[in-house]
Parts: sequence; C-alpha cells; structure tokens
Amino acid sequence: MASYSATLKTSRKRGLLALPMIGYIALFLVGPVLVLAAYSLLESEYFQVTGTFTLANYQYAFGSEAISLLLKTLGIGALAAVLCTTLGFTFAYAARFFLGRWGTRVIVVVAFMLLGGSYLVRVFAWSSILGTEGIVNTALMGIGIINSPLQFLFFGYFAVIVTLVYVYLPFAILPIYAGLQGVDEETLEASRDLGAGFWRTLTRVVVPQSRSAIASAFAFTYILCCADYITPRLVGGIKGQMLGNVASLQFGGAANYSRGAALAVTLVLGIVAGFVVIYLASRLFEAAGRLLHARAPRRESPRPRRGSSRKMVSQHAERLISKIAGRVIVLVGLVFLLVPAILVIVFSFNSAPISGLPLKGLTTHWYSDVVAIPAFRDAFVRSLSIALIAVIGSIAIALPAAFALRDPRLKFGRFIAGAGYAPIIIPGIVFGVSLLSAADAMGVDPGISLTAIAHIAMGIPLVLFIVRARLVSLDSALVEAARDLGASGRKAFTSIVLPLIAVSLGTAALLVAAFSLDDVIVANFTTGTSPTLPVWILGLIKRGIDPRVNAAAVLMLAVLSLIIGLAFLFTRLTNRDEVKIGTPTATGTNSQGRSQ
Amino acid sequence: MNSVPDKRNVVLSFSGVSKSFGDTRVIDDFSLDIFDGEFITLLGSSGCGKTTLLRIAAGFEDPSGGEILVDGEPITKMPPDKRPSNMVFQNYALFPHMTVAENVAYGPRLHGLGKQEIEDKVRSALEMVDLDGRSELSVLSLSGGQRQRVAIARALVNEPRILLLDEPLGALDLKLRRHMQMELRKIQENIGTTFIYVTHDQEEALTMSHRIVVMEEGRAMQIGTPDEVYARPANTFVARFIGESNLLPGRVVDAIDGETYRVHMDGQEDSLRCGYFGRESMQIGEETQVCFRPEELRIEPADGHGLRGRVLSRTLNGPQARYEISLETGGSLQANTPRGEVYRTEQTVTVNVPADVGVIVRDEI
Repeated sequence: MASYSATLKTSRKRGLLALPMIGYIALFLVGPVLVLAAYSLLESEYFQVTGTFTLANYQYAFGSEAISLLLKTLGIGALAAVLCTTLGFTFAYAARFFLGRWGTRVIVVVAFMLLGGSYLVRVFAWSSILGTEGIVNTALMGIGIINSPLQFLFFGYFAVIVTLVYVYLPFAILPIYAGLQGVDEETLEASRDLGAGFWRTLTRVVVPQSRSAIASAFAFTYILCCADYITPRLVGGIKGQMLGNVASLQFGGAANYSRGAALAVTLVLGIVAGFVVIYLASRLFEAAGRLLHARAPRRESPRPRRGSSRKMVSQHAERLISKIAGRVIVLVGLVFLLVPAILVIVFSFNSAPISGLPLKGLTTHWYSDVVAIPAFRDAFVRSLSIALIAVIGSIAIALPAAFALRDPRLKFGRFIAGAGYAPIIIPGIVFGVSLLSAADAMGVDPGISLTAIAHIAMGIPLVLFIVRARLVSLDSALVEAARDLGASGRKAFTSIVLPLIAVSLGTAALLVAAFSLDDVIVANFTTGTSPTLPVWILGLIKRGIDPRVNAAAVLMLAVLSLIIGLAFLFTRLTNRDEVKIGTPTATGTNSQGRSQ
Repeated sequence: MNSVPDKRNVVLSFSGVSKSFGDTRVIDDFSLDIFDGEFITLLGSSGCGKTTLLRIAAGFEDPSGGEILVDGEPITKMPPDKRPSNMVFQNYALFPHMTVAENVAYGPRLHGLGKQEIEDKVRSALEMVDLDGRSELSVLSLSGGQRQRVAIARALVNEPRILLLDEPLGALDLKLRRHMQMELRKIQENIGTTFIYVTHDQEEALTMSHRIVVMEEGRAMQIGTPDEVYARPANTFVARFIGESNLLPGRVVDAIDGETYRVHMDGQEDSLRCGYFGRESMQIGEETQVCFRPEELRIEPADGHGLRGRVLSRTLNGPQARYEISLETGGSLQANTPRGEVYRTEQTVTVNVPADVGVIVRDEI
C-alpha cells in the first residue's frame, strides 16, 4: 500500500510526462534546424544537396548583395516593429484609460482580428487596396486626381511597411494592453496629484510600469516582421524584397536548398544581432538620459501653482479633450484594422472581376466558381483533416507535459517549458525550411504528413500555455478533497481535474485548429504538391488578379471566425468559473490578521 | 451536553510524530491520544505545525518519524482515500462543476452505495446543515456560510470516525463565525463523531472544545480542557497565549504540595499561596514568575493592601474598565475594575493580589 505522499514523490518523476513533448520538439524542431544548419554548409548540384562541404553558400550569403538585403530587411523589420509598438501602445493606452468598460470590448475585437482575421487574408487585403488596379489608385483615377496609377503605392517598401504594420499591429496591442491592465489607474491620479503633467505621468509612471509588456510587444513584432516573406512577395515586388522572400525562393522554384539554408541562417543571426544592437542602444540611451537628467537644473519641482479656478477649468477641458482623443484614436485604429478585411468581403460580392471602385453589381458567382474548383475542395478537406490531427496530436503531447510542469520542484522545469514554447518563438520561415530540408535529407516527400507534424509542433505551445494557466488557477485542495472522500488518484483525476480543465482544453483545441487552418508561412514549404487551403489561395493570388480569390478568402475567414468565436465563448465560460471560485479565498486572506 | 468523550476509548493516536520539510522541523516528537466522541482543538499561531499535524492525520503528508494509529492499528502508510477520517478544508474545496447535492454525493457514490441509499444520505446530511432546499444549486451560487455547510455535509455524509477541520471558519465574518461555532458544536454533540479542529483563534478554541492542544514550534505546550489551559497554564507560553495575563516576578519560598507553593513577590510583605501545573517540580528559592489574569486583580486606593503603583491609562471595555498600572517595583500590569470605580491618570493606587489565584509559570524550552 503506497501512501499518498509517496505517490506524490513518485510523481516527482512526473517529469516523465513531459518526455513525449521533449522528444517531439527534439525530433521535429531541433533535428530539422540542425539539418538546415548542415545543409547551409553543403554543396548543391542539379537541384540536389550533395555531401560535399563548402563555404560557398555563406560567401553568397555574406556577399554584398545578400548583406545589403539583410540590412534592409532588419531595418524594415525594426521600423515596422517600432511603428507597431508605438501605435499599439497609443491604441492600448486609449482603450485602457479613456474608454471605461468599452476598453475590454475593443480589445476583444482586436484579438478576434488577430486570431480569426486570417494572416493571408490581411496581407491580401492590402495588395488589393494598394495595387496598380487597387482601390486607392482606381478611386483616385476615378475622381480624376491622377491620370496614371501611383506606382509607389505598390511594389515597394512603403507598401511592405504599411502591410506589416497592419498585419502585426494586434500582436503589439494585445500584450501592451495586458501590461497596462496591471497599471493601477490610481497611480496615474497620484502622479497628477503630485504635480506631474500628462507627458511626465506617461513617461515616468505608465511606461515604466508596462515596460516588459512593451518590450515583449516590440520583440515579438520585430521577429515576425523581419522573418515575414509572404508580405514582401505579395505587396513588395522587385523593389520591395526582403531576405526571407529571397531565401524562400531557394526552396521553391530555384531549388537551391543549400543557399536557402545559408540565407535562413544569416537571417536568424541578423535578427539576433539586431536584438543585441537594439538592447545596447537602449542601455546607452537610458544612461545618456540619466546623465542628462542628473545635469538638468531642477527648476521644475517648485513650479508655482496656477490659480485654482483657472486650473479647474483647464482640467475640465483637458479631461474632455483626452476623452475625445481617446475615442478618436480607438476609432481610427479599429477602422484601420477592420476596413481592409471588410473590403475583401465586399469585393467578393462585386460583379466586376477587378477589386476596384466603383462597385459594379452584386453577385455570388465568384463563390460558386470557387467551390466548383476540385482543387479548392481538396485543399479545404486537407486543411480540415490536418487541423484535426494537429488538435489531437498537440493535446496528446502537451497535456501530460502541462501536468508535469505543475510541480514546482520539477527538475529542468524551465528548460522543459522553454522547449514547449520553442515552436512559437522560432520564425515560421525557419521552421518551414528546416522541416523541408529534413524531409529532403530523409528522402521523404513533403505533403500532408509533414504539414501535420509542423502544425502539431505549433499547437504544443498553445495547449501548454492555456492548460498551464488553468491548472495554476485550480485549487490543489480539490484533488485532496476528492482523495479524502475516497477517490483513488485516477478517479480524482477523471472526476475532478478533467471536467474542470475541459473548457480550457476545448479553447486550446479551437485555437490550435484555427492556427493550423490559417498557417501559410510554414505550410507553404511543407505541403509539397498537396496544398492546404491558405497555400492554395496563395497560389491563386500569385498567379495574378483573380476575383475568385476574394471569395475563397472570405470562405476561409468564415471558418476561422466560427472557430475563434466558439473559442471566445469557451473562455468566457472559464472566466466565469474562476472568478467565483476565487472569492472565498479572497475573503479568507482578509481575515488573516484577526484574533489572538 | 449529550456526547461526552469516552476516555476509555482512544480513537486516534499520534505517537512520537515528527515532520521536517527540508531542514525545517515542523513537528517535533508529538504524541497525543484522542478519545472517541471528543471535540479536540489544535490551537496555535501560524507556522506552529497544527495544520501539518492535521494533514498527517488525513494522509496528505507523510510523517518523517513516528506513527499514526486508529483504534491501536498503525495507518501511517494508508492513503487518504482509505482512512476512516474526512476533512473540512480551509477554503472548503467544493467541486465547482457540481451542484450542492453532487458535492455531497461524491463520497457515497465512490463507496458503491445504491441510488436510493445515496439520495437518502445526501438528503439527511443536507438537512443536518439546513441546506435541504438548495441541493440542486451550483455551489458557485452559494454564500460563504452556505459553502461552509456544504463542506461539512460532504464530509459527514460518509460517517467518518473522525472529522478533521482545518480553520473551517477562517473565511467567514465575525457574526457568521460565532453562529457557525455554535452550529458545529451542536452537530458534534448530536452525532458524537470525534472532531479534530485546527484554529489560531483562542476564543473559538475555548468556546467549542472538550480539550485544547496549545501548540508552538511543532510541540504541544499544554493539553487540557478550556478551563485548565485558561486557569492553570502550564508555562509562560500558554499563560501569554491564552487570554490576557500579568506575569509578576517572585521567588519560591515554600512547597505545600506538588501543585501548591508559597511565593514571595517583590513589594509584598507576606508570601502568597500560588498554584503550579508545569511538568518539572519547583525548587525552593527559585526565581520565577506568577501569572494573574486582569480580572483577578483588584485596584484599591493608595492606602490599600498590595502592590503600589501609578495609573497609566484607563480604557472602557463594556461593563468593565481596564487600567494599566505602572508598579513601584518596576514593570507594569493590567487590572479590571467595575466601570463605576474611577481612578485618575497618575493617581497612586494599590493593586490587591489575592492568594490562591496566581499560577507559577516557567519558560519551557
């Protein structure tokens, strides 16, 4: 008869539960990345990677042409990330402090855009807005302001940056808003009360408190923007190239995997180097700021107070202005985020074959056209099956690991968690070309299996994150209570733990499905000749202007929104639970100081 | 009082139990026999080891040494689901995805009872805690006091030999807590189950228990009835911890019997008869302290018989007033008087120290 704590002790070997996840990440992420690194050092001949060692790929990758492209890429990525972060902060700040209860609702819309808005559709939306025959040009020409299309709008870095900011802005808004939620409004009031103005309060009180959220928003958007290759391909053209785009072509038509591998490696190194530079620069900036601050004459503190009546008037006006400004900012932000996607939907019903203004007439025949294409239907079914496999696979692997990680004494816990989150940190292009290279090295053809492997890996961090968050909020006394009332360890798990995490598990499943259905960055490399839905749509977009793309995109949007809508409903269920379970504990801590 | 603990029948024993977490010793060679039908309270401040002891009894923690016995049989290695005890958790640990009735039925269902039998048991358990009208509600819709009752019903429905209660009233407000103290006491009297109750609230311990175990640093400082631990503290710790006390220095001058000594106190002419209830016997001539409760001391005008001092402060406490007196021999003490007897601040008074109420206490290591 093993005692309860003894089973706990053996469960300290619960680390074993994380083993499948570690194995999976090692086999399907670390392994392929190593193959990619190896490929970058091998010769390619006649579209085949040979066993001969060479540095030629790096001579190319560090050649002046590739290096200048790398620097441009990093510059564009940094610029887009800075824009995302500042605009995201402005938006999140307005939503947090000027919108009251509406703030959370606005943020839900942003989250919905991010998760259900489809990456590919968002990029495509801008190509139809900015293109030579796009909405802006046709509208301007229609009114007669210009005679010929404005070329700078399309096929260039301007279009690339606008699109990157559009696509990745929600990635900045959400973490910054979460960070600002941790900033107590009273600290702002205290700062104003102590005599600080709006800017001083912003820079000395708000920003320092949300610094880590801002930093992670920047880091996240920086990686995503630098490594994006779909955006430059769809809106950049020849003049708007980025390194990822060139590298990805080596794995496509050019079929020079070795050179592509070297370019991918330099891209990663470049991103890392960029981080180092940005970090050092920010430290330098801070030090300089401190120096300046120390030298500055301290004239501001005994600033004479203005007359009280005048101050009250100005404060009233200021409150009104900030209220209006907050609303305007949020409104403009929402228009910016929503209108392009709405345009895609509108044009899918436009009878003219070109996504330009003015609208001709209402039709649904693009939908019937698209549905009639066998390849579309195949891709759709393929995508759904891969999503299903990704859901099952990622839950089967990440759920046990989440339980293993629940034990704070678990050895190498941080390492194990890090491994689980790795698929979301590694840029999609690198993961995609690594898997493709590994498949090539093994002589396996890319296709559904390779894509499913990729999507399982990408689902693991989602499941891990969501289930861990739920487990943290679960009172460990619940399992003890079940054991105390006569349940075996297994019974306590099935009757108490499983039902209580079911909703979170459902949410995670829906998110994994949505990510899988939406993924084009990785799947573009792994699907081979059997494309998933977004890869098929990408092919259609690349082939030129085709009104059926709008219809296909809207169909994909519809599926994604459905899934994400469900997921949102699910999370509301868990939140309601957690809030109520939390209450007795909260009152419990209040009564601690009493008695004796 | 219906249920009187049956002293011939030991239900649960801690026998030399120790527990360490890493290098920290939380329970130190703890032994205690708990009788059938007893309401016993483990009382101590946080970190004294009382909850750990309860969790060892429940089977959630393994002792580092010693045994737990039920009816003389060791159960130290028995998992919690096999033990004849049930627990009421501090924050109730109700299953949030179940209704009130489902929570209560959780145990009986595991024990493979028939459907009708389960229903009957659940109903009578909920009747016992006055929740029979709410069986189909979600536990999330209940108030704190109602959740508390569900937790009690859920544990008692299994008819355990022993009910373990881990600060069960800690999360309730004062009024509700008072009410639930009475309820719990009533339930215990009616069903006669042994209750082991953990609390840091001495008032709760004094009102509810048959016996109190005063704990500090993993050891029992005194085990006794509420009257005993209040009126006959075994050492300085208990004297200070339970109620309010004045500890006045004195010297043992004569032994009358093992529990009665004469003590000479500074500022007193005659020696005083005092009780002693510590473990080791007193030596004649030993310097020690004598514990007086504020209500045992009487303040008289300056020409009275007793310790001379000066009034520092007066605080009204309902029918009584509490005076703080600075003594001429050094130190200060607190004494209660009826509200009508008023002395001014700085007024010189005497504090009358009666015989046969002081208790000699020593520091116990």
